This record gives sequence, structure tokens and C-alpha cells, in this order.
Amino acid sequence: MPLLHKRIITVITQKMINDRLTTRCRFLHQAMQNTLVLVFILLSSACSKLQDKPALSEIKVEVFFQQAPIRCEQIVSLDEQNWRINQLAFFISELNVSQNGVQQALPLTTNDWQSNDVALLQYTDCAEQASQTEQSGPLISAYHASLQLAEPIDFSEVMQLQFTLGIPFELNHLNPLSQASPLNIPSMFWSWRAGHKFMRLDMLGDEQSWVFHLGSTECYADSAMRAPTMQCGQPNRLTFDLPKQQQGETLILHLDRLLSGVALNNKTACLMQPDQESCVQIMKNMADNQVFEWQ
Amino acid sequence: MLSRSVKYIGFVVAIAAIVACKPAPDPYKWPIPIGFPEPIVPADNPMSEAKVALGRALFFDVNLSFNQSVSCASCHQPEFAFAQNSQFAMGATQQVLRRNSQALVNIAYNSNLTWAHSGINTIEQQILIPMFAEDPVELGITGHEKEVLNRFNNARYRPLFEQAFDESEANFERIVFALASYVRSLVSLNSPFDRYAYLAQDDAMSESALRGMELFFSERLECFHCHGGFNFTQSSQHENQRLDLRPFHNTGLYNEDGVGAFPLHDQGLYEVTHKAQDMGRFRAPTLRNVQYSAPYMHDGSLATLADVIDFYAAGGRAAGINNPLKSPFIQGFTLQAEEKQDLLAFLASLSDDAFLSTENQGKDRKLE
Repeated sequence: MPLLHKRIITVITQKMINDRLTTRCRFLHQAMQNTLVLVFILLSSACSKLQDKPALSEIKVEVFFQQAPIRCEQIVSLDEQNWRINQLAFFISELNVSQNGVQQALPLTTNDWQSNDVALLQYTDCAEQASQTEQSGPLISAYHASLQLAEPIDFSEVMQLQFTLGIPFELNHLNPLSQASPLNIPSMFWSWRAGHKFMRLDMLGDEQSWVFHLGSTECYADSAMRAPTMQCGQPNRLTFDLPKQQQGETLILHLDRLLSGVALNNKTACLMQPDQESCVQIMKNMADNQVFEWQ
Repeated sequence: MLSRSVKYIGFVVAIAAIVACKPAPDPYKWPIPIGFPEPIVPADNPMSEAKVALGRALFFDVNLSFNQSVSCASCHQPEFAFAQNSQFAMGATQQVLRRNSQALVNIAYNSNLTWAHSGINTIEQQILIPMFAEDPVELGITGHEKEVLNRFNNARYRPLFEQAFDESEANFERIVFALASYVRSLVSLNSPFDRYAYLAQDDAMSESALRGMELFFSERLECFHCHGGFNFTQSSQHENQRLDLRPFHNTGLYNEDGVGAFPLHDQGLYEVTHKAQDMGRFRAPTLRNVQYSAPYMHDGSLATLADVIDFYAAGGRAAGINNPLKSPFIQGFTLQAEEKQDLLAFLASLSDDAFLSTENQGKDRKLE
């Protein structure tokens, strides 16, 4: 008897559960249908939004000569002489955008090419570009042409891009051995006193060579191996505020505009010597010759 | 069931005990001051004291040359900062090599090796050249492989291989890995300059050396453009710095045809890349311990450091001064006699007495 009783109870209970389940399922089914419709609507609106306003996670940085991008080792003609970029590299920091007068900092991701919101761009030896993907071991990569943003940004409403060509004083004169890449690269470092080369352009001609190294001058310290405690007399950190020309995807360095009016030869290298004519001309070009353009 | 569990637990404990009994190798301790970054080491050849010890024994052992006449140390002598005080190196067959033996100082940090090769980036690759090259012959192992290996399967070497690789048998991969580990261990970061620059000891360098340092880092002399970074060579990388420019330069030593050619028997990087602009380009070597590694330049054609300074002051040598492919940083300069002495004093402040002490290295040489 007790056994039969138990079985009946089990059956009844089971039926009740089933019934309840059926009701719940029906409700669930309906809810799911509604959700699906909602998701579909949301997705389609999101898609159209994405098409209209792409969020970018990088800004390409290209080098142009006479309105066209120059490829590695391409020969360019200046003063009827052939020249080729032997080395070109520069630091960009303090990257900002502004939208209706409101400025917003664009933090950079951290990798071999970027740290402390300072990025190194480098345009040498395209052939060695491939080795960049390697994540460990020695790297002899010499080509890197984009700013990687820590948070993707929708540039559609953004009107202006601001940045500094150079490295902030607080980061510029530190022991390079204890700094993160790219703030520890010997070829871009002068000394603790003078800090980094903010821009390095080494040009090679058929019969001559020419160089331009931008960096702070009039920095005072006990020796080349000691850091200045006060801002350098001529920081030479150049700031740019550029209106957006197109979608904001590309920042362009116009090499021809940078070198406009500068005679390139063995005697005119600009290594920030005071009164060097080529330096005066380049700094003038940097100030008012639209050397950088934001497209 | 209980007994099965007990058995199982027993088995696990036994395995754990076996694993625990085999001591994990101690991480290699680099002889570098606190704060200095460690070199990058290939993942397949991690450093260990045992490999360094085996490599040291091999480095000084003439049995590594096919005719037992020379060792690595014949051309890389500790007392000359592991370079050699002769213009050219000479191999096991007395064949004279075309280049000057390079110092082995901090090469663990090098991003390029040899005098001029953009494709040799690890010491393991480089070591194959002196071991197996047939023209010129250095150790001359090619064609004598078995014979040479047999010299290392003996009572002296078996324990060294066993400790380094858990295998007592010698083979060429193990020899290369051990040699690479030993030369990687040749780290020199304890010069008066290091104490001044990195340990902030203001009195570590003489007044003259400090004046020389100002000259070295000046735009007037431009030395530091190619001899930059903590190793005074552009060819340097470490755990936190993996990017750099190519470290090869034409210094205006030659200009055979008026348009930049170097002598046919040695044209530098051009031989590797066949790019016109690489004619006469060689790697800027480190200046650490440079006082001891005379003679200088890739072909040992300058006898003293004073000669080297004169060479750069002239902006090259003879027709080389007008070599169109010469580095833009070699424009020449004028130095007063006292300034030259100061510059020499600075270069001397890059010497690391502990590194050079033959007491350190000599012991191993007697093992032969």
C-alpha cells in the first residue's frame, strides 16, 4: 500500500510539474520571440550607426612628397638632385581631439612603439617590416606608421586634432635604461641633459648627405650624463592643431613642405645649432607651412 | 575500493616526489649592476651556469680546431678585451683573414653580429662561421666533424655536458649552445663611466675624462651618433628595448673609384645586401674597453686610438674623405692637443678592470 500511494503521488506531482512547465515554456517562447524582434531592431539600428560613424582604433601616419605617399627608398628630387630617406623617425605625444570646443585626450595603447602616451613613428627599411609581428626575441624592425589608440574613437563629430611633436619634459631626460620602449632607443637619444631627438631625418643624396635632428637646446646640467632640473631654454617641442579634412583616418607629414626653401648639402645639416640657416627655415616651415595635415 | 584509492594516492605521491627530487635549475644570474636591463636570450638556449662553464672550457680549447692548433681564444684574447693585438686574425691553416678580430664585450646585447651582416642576429648563428667556414678557414671543422667531436667525448668533458644538457655526449648543437652561453656571459658594465653615469658617483671619472665626455657627446664631434646607447654602439638591444635603427656606417676609410667603392676584397654590408648605398658600411663596434682592443677599424688599419681620433678629425682618410656614401656625421673637426687628451681619457674611462683581469679568465686557460 504505501508503495502504491507513493507512486500515485509521484505521478500527480509529475503532471503538475509538466503542466507548469508547459505554461512557463509558452511564456518563455513568447518572451524569446519578443526579444528576438527587439534584438533585430537594435542590431539593424546599430549596424546603420556603425556604417555612419566608424570608431577608429588607429590613426595612420603617412609621409607624403608632393601630394603622394612615398614608399621606402623611393628617390625624390630636390633642387634637381636625387635624395632618399636614410632614416626618418619622430615622436608624437599629447594627442588630443576637440569637439565643439571641448578637448579630449586620446590615450595610446602600450607596446614596443608606444608608452606613457608617447609614440614613435619610424620610416626606414620597409623590407624589415615583416619582423615586427614577432612578439619575443630581438627585433630589427624599422618601419612603423600608425598611432594605436587605447580606446576606439568616433571621429565624425571631431573637428580638430592636436599633438606635440616631441616628448614632454618630465619624460625627456630620464635614464634611458630604465625607460620603457620607445623611450629607450639609443638612435633617438642625445644624452640625459639634452634628452631625445624629437625628429630625426637623415637624407642620402647621390653625392651628399644631409640631416635634421629636432630636440631641446639650452638645457643646463652638470654634464651630458646628468638631467636638467629646469625646463630647457629652447624646448623645441612643437605643437600642432589641425582641422579635419576628411574622415580623420590619416595624419600626413609633408616632407616637401618641411624641406621647402632648405638647400640640402653637406654643409647645411640642422642639428639644432643656433643661427644655422637651415634650422631657421625648417622651424619656420613647421610653424606656417602646413607640414602636417589631418585627413 | 579503499585499497585502490590508497594505491592511486601512493602513485601520485611517488610521481610528485620524483619531480620534486629533480632540482629546478637556478635562474642564471647575470653579472650586471642593479637597474641594468638583461639581454635578450633565444628561447631555445636559456642561460645556465653549467652551459657557461662548458662554453668557457670549449672556448679556450685548441681541440675545437681540426688540427688542434687554435682555439676561439687565439683570436679573442681576454687581455685585449677578447680581441687580438694584430691587424688581421689567422685561422688554423695559417690563412690570414681579411678582418680584425672583434672584441667580445657585451655581445649578449648585440642586435647584429660580425663586422657587417644584417642577417646574423644571434650568437648561435655567428659561431657557425668560425667553426665551419671553409673560406677563410678559422677552426676548420668542416670535413673533420667526427674527429673533432670525439675529442670531447672523454672524462673531462662528459660531466660538463651532463651538467649543461642532461646528456653527456658531445654534439655540435650542444657545443654551439655552450659557446654562445659563455660569450653571452662576458658582460662589462663596471667602468668608471658606469659608476659616474648610472650609479651617480660624481667623482668616479677624472676632470679630464669628464671634459672628454662633453666632447664625445657634442654636435661638434658627433661621436655618439653612431657610438650611442649604453654600449656605445647602435647595435644594441635588451629586454625592454627591441627597436633600433640599422647600425651600419660608411666612415670614409676608402674611395677606390671616386664614387664610393671600397677595396674589392672587403666592401662591407654591400656584400650581403647588394644595395649600392650599403657599400663600405660596417657595424659601429662598442667602445667599452676600446683602449685594449687595438688595432682599430674592420681591417685593423689604424694602430692607436689617437690615430682613430685623427682619422675622424680629418673626416675620413685620403680619397675616402670625399666618399659620397660616407655617414653624414663624419664631417671632420678641429681638436686642440689638450682636447684630444681629454677625449682619450674619456675613452679610457670606459675600461672595466674587473672584466679585463686576466686572473679571472686565465684560470680557465690553464685547464687545457
